[in-house]
Amino acid sequence: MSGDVVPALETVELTKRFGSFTALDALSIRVQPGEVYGFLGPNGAGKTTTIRMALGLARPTSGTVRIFGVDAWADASAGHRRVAFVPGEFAAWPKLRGGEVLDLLGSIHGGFDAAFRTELIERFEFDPSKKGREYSKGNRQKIALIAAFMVQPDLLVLDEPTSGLDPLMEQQFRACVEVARGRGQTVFLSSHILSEVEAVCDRVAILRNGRLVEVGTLDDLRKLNTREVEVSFATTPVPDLSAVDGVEQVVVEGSVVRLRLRGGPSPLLAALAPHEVASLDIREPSLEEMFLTFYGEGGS
Amino acid sequence: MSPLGLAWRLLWRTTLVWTAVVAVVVASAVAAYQSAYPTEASRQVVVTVLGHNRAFDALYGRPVALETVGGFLAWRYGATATVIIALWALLAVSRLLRGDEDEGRTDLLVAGPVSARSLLVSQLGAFVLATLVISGGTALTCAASGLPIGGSVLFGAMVGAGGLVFGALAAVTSQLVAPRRRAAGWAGGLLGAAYLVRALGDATPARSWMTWTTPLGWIERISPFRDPSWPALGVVVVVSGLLGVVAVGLREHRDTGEGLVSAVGSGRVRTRPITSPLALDWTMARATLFAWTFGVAVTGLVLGFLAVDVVEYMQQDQNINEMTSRIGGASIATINGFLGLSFGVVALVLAVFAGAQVVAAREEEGSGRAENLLTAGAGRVRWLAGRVAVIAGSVVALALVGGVTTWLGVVLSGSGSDLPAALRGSLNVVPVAVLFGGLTVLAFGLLPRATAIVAFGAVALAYVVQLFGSIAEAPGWLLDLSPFAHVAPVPALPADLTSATVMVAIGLVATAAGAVAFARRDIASA
Repeated sequence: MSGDVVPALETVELTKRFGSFTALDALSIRVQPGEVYGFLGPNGAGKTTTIRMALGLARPTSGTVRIFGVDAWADASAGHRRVAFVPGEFAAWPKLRGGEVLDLLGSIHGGFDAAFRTELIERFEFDPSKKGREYSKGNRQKIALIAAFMVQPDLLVLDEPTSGLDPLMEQQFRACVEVARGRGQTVFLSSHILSEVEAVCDRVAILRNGRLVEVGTLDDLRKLNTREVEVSFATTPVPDLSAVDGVEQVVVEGSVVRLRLRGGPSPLLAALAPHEVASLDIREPSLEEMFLTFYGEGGS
Repeated sequence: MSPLGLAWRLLWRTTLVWTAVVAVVVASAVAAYQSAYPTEASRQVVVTVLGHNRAFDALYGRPVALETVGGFLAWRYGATATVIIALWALLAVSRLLRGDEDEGRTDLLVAGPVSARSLLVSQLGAFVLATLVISGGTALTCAASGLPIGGSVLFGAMVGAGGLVFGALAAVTSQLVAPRRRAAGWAGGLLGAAYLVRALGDATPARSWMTWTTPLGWIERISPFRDPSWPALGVVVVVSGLLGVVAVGLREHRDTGEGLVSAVGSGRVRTRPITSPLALDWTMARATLFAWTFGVAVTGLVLGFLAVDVVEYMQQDQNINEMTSRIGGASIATINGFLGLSFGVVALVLAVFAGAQVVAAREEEGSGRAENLLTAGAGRVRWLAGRVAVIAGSVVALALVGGVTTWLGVVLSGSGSDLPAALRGSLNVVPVAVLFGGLTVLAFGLLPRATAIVAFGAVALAYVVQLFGSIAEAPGWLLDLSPFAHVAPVPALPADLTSATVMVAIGLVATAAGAVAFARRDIASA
């Protein structure tokens, strides 16, 4: 990534301590304009802490976070003009109707496209005429999503945005992210739903215990990981593959060999060439498997 | 931990604090009375001076046996202690029954092996235990101060009975409405109404039947130290029990998290969109402001209505008039004199209002709703400034309502009155509300989670300090510590401009400091 363009969101050695507890430890990430950026980590990893500092709600203990080059703490309202935020759980005003909340948040943000708002309301099958206390959790979440997408901000900061949504609405959410991407908007998506991140994100950062574990495209991450390979031989006994470059954890069951492969497949293919192979299956690791691998590493 | 234990854990601290406060008031009142009026002759003067004043009858109730220590204690501090404990009770019960439910914590318990009904019974049981502790502590303090055993027990029962009956009432309102604030508000409104009805009844013999219609009247009849009435105590206990049964009965007819009187689907559709945080605050504050306006208006009307009676009675008797009329250099045997004293009540109400509204801002922050506005682009300081402006405007409006309704009360009772004088008197209490509101903003900026404690604790402390300070023999500096003591009884006396300026200045500086601290701290969710 070049450093010429001003990043949509950039943290430099961003640190947050609560007393003696370090919630976030020297996080440095850079989200480029137009990118859909996934932010992953288990509970308590520091994802929400990062987002609260990016929004100027919390003050960094040290380090900086900038929104389009502007310091998020020192000049929070400058950042807010270009950002829309969807929290994990939207706190609705009990007495305000859904439509009124949309009007209010849209006006504070500086206006919105009424036609697009209508389109979003239809897309999410949202009833704007009810009062805050009457909405279910999923429906409250829709208020936040519509309010954020309708103002078409340069940067969308989404913190577990689909919690409480049903699978159909989640599909709509993904479609909205695609529309935003098409318009050149930047999306910063913190999520637990790996399939969601896998479906929409260009790059992914993985956080654990307040530290950055890994960052890269999904392909980059896959390269760091192992692939699962299953080979069925036409004849027995099967050849010994454990000495082949990149091959690990070989398990033999009759004529079937299962193994894990790190790096490219060429050495394995070369080793298989002299033998009669009935079938060969190479499976890419899912993000979930990578996730578990990253968290499992180093334990605790 | 059992539900009873859980409820007790939420109750025991405030129970002990208020038991201690009542004990200290009782012990110092007894000591002060004995040293100030050591002889029989001096005690007869007390009977003559304090025992024949309609204003005091209205504030404290009918005097009984003022020539005895117990009689004086029961009259001067019994009604006040009863009201304080009643306030504690309705706040504690609504918190116990509604607070956890509003946060969704009760769901976990009720979804388990505990039924909603048995949970409520346990909570009420813990509350009854707490009132017994308060009664017992008060009775022990009385007995230790040398008062008769029987009277001590009844005085303790009298104070505890105030808590019992209004706590039980709050248990019923907690079934009727959600959230906690509304349930406590309804019970508090009923307590205010009960106080006003008793004051009206006690101020005029012709209306004394009115005291029978209110629990505070029954409690007054207990009269612990002279001709005690056990049936009156029995009535309070039985009515409290019935209210408890009603609350348990209603519990099964409502959903957890909701009230029987549901807010769902109510209200009209607003035609104009709300487009700014300030407009939102105003919309939210309006309903609360109407309720407070109603309360202040009723209080003003009653006080104004009483003024004429009280003053006429005192002027009839030249002898009493001369002895009772001069308090703080002003005559209270005039309508303006009585109004000057009455606006002290308005001062207390406005101080609580200002604090409560700042606490509401903290609730917006704690719930996460403020974040919705801030992240959409509303500036922090502007958001707070808007709220403070709405609060300040509301305080002035409430003061004006207090002045106008008091004047109206006087006019309605058939006497001429001076509207500008009444308005001067009611606006004179605004500085004390600015002071307490400002201190609450400071707490909101520096210690957000302690906002409510500071708001209500500071007012309660100032009130208790004034109670001590007004006890005979107390050092003068003690009374000076309470801001309420620095509110001059306008229109009987000219306004104390120095004190008013100092209070406003402290309030404004505290508000500014609170805003700076708020701008520099993390937004703190609940």
